[in-house]
Amino acid sequence: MNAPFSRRAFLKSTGALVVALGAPEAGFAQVAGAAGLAGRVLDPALVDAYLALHPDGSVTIYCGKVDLGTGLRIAIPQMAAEELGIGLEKIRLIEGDTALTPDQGSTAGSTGVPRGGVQIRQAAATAREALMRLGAERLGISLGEVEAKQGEVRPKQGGAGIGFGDLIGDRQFALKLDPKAPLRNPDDYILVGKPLRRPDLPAKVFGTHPYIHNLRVDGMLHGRTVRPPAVEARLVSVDESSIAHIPGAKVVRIENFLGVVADDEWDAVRASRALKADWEMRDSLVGNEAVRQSMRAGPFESDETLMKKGDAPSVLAAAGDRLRAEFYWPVQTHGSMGPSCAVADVRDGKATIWTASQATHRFRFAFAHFLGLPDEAVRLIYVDGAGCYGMNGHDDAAADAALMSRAVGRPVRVQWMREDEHRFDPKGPPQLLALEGALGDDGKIAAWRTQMWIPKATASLPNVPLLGPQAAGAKQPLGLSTGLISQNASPPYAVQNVEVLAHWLKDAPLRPSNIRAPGKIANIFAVESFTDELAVKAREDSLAFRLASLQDPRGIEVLERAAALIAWQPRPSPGPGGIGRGLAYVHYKDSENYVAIAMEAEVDRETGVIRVRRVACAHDCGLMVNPDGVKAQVEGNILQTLSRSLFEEIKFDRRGVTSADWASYPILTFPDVPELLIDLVQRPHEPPLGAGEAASAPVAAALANAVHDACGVRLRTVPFTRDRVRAALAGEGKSG
Amino acid sequence: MSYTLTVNGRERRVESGDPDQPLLYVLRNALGFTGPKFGCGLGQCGACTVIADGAPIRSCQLPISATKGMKITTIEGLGTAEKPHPVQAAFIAEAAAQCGYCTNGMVMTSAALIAQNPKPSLDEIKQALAGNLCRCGTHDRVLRAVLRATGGQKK
Amino acid sequence: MYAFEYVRANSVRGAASALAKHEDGKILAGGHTLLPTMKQRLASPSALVDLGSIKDLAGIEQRGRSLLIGAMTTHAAVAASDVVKTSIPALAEMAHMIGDPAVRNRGTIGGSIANNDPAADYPAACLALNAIIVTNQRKIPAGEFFKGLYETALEPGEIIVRIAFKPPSRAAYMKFRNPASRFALVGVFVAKKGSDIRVAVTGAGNQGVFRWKAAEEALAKRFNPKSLDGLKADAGIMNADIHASADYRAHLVAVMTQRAVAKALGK
Repeated sequence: MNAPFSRRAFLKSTGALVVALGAPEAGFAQVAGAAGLAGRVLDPALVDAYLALHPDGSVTIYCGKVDLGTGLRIAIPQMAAEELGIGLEKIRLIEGDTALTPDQGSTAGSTGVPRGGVQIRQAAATAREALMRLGAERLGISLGEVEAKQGEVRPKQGGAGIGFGDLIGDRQFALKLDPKAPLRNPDDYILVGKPLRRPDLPAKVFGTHPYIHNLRVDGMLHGRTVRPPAVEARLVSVDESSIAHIPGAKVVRIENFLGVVADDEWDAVRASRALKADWEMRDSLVGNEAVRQSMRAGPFESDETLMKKGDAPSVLAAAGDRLRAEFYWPVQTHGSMGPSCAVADVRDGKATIWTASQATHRFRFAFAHFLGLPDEAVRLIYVDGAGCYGMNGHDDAAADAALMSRAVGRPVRVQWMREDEHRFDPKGPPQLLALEGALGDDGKIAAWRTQMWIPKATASLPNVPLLGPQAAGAKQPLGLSTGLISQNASPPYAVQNVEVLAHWLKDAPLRPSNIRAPGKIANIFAVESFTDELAVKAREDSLAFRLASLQDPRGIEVLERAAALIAWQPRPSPGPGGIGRGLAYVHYKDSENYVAIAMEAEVDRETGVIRVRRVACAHDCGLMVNPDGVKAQVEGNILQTLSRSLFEEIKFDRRGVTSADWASYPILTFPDVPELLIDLVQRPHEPPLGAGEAASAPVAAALANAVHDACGVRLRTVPFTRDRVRAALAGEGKSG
Repeated sequence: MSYTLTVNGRERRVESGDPDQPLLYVLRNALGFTGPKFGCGLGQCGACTVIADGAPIRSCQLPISATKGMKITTIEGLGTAEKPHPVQAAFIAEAAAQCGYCTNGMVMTSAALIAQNPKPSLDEIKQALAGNLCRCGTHDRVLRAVLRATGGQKK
Repeated sequence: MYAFEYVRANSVRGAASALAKHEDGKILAGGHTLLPTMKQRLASPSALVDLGSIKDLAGIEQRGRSLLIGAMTTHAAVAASDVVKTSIPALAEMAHMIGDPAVRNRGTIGGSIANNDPAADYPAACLALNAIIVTNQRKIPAGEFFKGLYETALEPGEIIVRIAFKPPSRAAYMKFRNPASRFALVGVFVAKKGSDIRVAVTGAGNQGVFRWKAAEEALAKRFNPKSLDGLKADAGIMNADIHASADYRAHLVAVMTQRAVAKALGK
């Protein structure tokens, strides 16, 4: 085994974001510099890709996934430290640097802990086994007689042990990840399962946390992208003299890509506003008013039967009074609080990109491709940005910075303005669902049919196509990226006859990307609203109606626990008026988390204002590595999805997005915040399933069901704006 | 042109070629106080909040030319790890941040609130924070933190 | 934003002469409306005259039966003022409903009135309370002051000095907020002074603040929310935008007026 580099050398030589969990406050070392990374093992099949033990007994964890404010930064060290048998204070974590961390896939789909963390845990277990072998040998006793605890391998019987640092100290393990390396017994967990404090909190609260927006590198210019007034507009001419009065301001033009750079950030902003450019406009969009109709009209890629069980069409056709309903979810933005930002240094045949990307490894290839550089010459370094909930504008901003840096031969920092973020981040696509259902003589659901009109994700598209390269005429794979938006479109209950059809659309109205719990929120909104409609038809209490057809004990448990949190009283809906209550349930992706939400809401019949009073959630994500981290994610899922359900729709005309700020795209504010009641189920012996998304899925349906219970009106179109509710109430019995 | 203002107790002199340059850019770039954040530049989100002469203001809306004689406190001047402001201590205790980008505004608005109203009710806190947006959904923790800082309890 | 000259005035007279020098100079009276407007390139004044240093422009005083509020008095000061709370409590409450703390600390009554934003709160209070807007040149009754969207009776070089209110016997303000901006989607200020009843509506009208005469007549017969049952505001004069349709605004005007009357009656 060799010693490729010391930790000190590594800190000096890289621009990595390093989190030291042992420091009293989050100790982030951010050092910009040339890459001198020879010897780093990046093969995800090898233990050394994930961790390095140092002579002083400290450990560096190399994590391909990143913490988007979601708490991986504590959860993954908890898993690694637990498995190694070492204190958390000995752990350092490096996230998402393509030159230092293995490619563990993008940080999306709640995979941070279930895949990223579990992989690192297995690496730690493999390493621990190796350390125990080394220790047993040195101690001169058998492997069965040693244990790995508190950073050393020691005799189980007691007596002096040998520190990990002494056993391996900076040498490589040179071992394959052993999928069979035994894991610690959850009953013995010391760190996993504890609500330990995130290391980045204090710096965030003292204003010293190193966001990408704060990063400055030597010789850096500030850039601003000048996006066209209309999507796909062609740049005809630029009047460079229009910014001649601004010191140092310079135009960067590459075909239809337009930007400005300046030494001073405010000068760059001023220049971007003062710059006169002539664009040839295009009316290429359908406009938000026409989206719903256009989805019915196509053009279609294909129709696909996603599920067929029994004979739903025949049973529905034979049913005397089947129910039908149509549900619509609009285009929405990620709405990150901070506009996307990145710094790029593209010079001398190399590119270093500091980015808040969720997918540094994946985008490394994209950047190499459009910059025309070999993959090895491109390094993406993750630095925290404002929270994103899917692919927002981070990668576009990074591409803008790279294009400008290459053009001017200096590092360039690009920060989008608010209107850039609202207008140009890739959007959550719209979804249209038509549901049919019929009850059997037993009062249970006899047949169910879901039809979905949704944009088809392009097969094996590596990433969301980027705006800058597209405008600059660079080659990149084109297509639609949406996330897995067709999941959870069937009822999670025992139904004999079920059919789920997808009408795959060729296009999306605006460039789409995955947005938190892609598709599942809209699908569960439809499925669980419709389940309630069937319960109403059966004159059955909606909790009892669900439980009667649910067999999975973990599902039953969360439903019962959520209902108990608001002291659910059995009765059919709608209720007597006043405060309404509603329930919704999801078995996420039909294979992951079990979540039930029970909600109370009131409706002001005169104004249409919905007031959500309480939201109760019972949540089972298997093993919770850090229960407070899970709780934070559940809270965030609930409040963000309430916001999306009550307020949010991207408006756009034929040319572009008109919801360009927070006034035209309102989101939830403090006065709207309900009381939250959260009940987390800890299952130490089950695999961890992650918590980043699942709790958002039942929110809209629970809310719609509570509104219906309160006032008898069924809302099937999101957002539940006040005038929409008011109109629905005015035409009572009709739906909104 | 040069401007003189007091930031976190120290008189600072800054040059700006544009009298309209918002205070936020001056704080973040010329003076290196990166605690206040650019969120919207439109006074809509609160991420840039600083305290000016005791009152919370949006630093993205205040031109440098209008800051003459003002005493500005940024989050860096509110408290430190060694001497945290009670609101900061409570935010840490309640883990009241996810991505943390809005946290500056939450902390500064809350600190200004309790300076004026040491025992705000839950509703008063919600109203005071009504212009501070959060996208991660940390609102409930922020409310708990402010109550904790004032000795109150959220049931 | 474009380049402009910044002038810090030390007196009303100085401000007036600075304004006279610049054809399209604007007054900076807090800056919470003007600056964002300028950033969005909706305004591009050649000069900004900041009134922030003129000491005697801010202040609140009860003089005889008149409540006098200086033009540069912040919304926060009005909301917190014991003088206002005693004289016209509905006015203090209204000031407290404006924006959020940061807006209330910078925004001023004079700035709000001079700008006459169709969704601002103060124009409704001034109109309903029949306030007198006192400038460096004359006294203008509120009814003659507000002229339409962002338009007022102010002449070039004319500067608001203070606003004079006469306390009503009953008054209340009800505001239905835009969820995002906290501006009024519909705001209704109802004031009763003897037999004179005024209902002023902000946020809703396509020409800015207006008096809803039909409601005033109905309330003159009997000052009770029930007097307004079935009364509909005219959707034809309502604003329609991404936040609400004209019909919905018309509906809200009626609802908010009834609620304001109820509140004025202490119900």
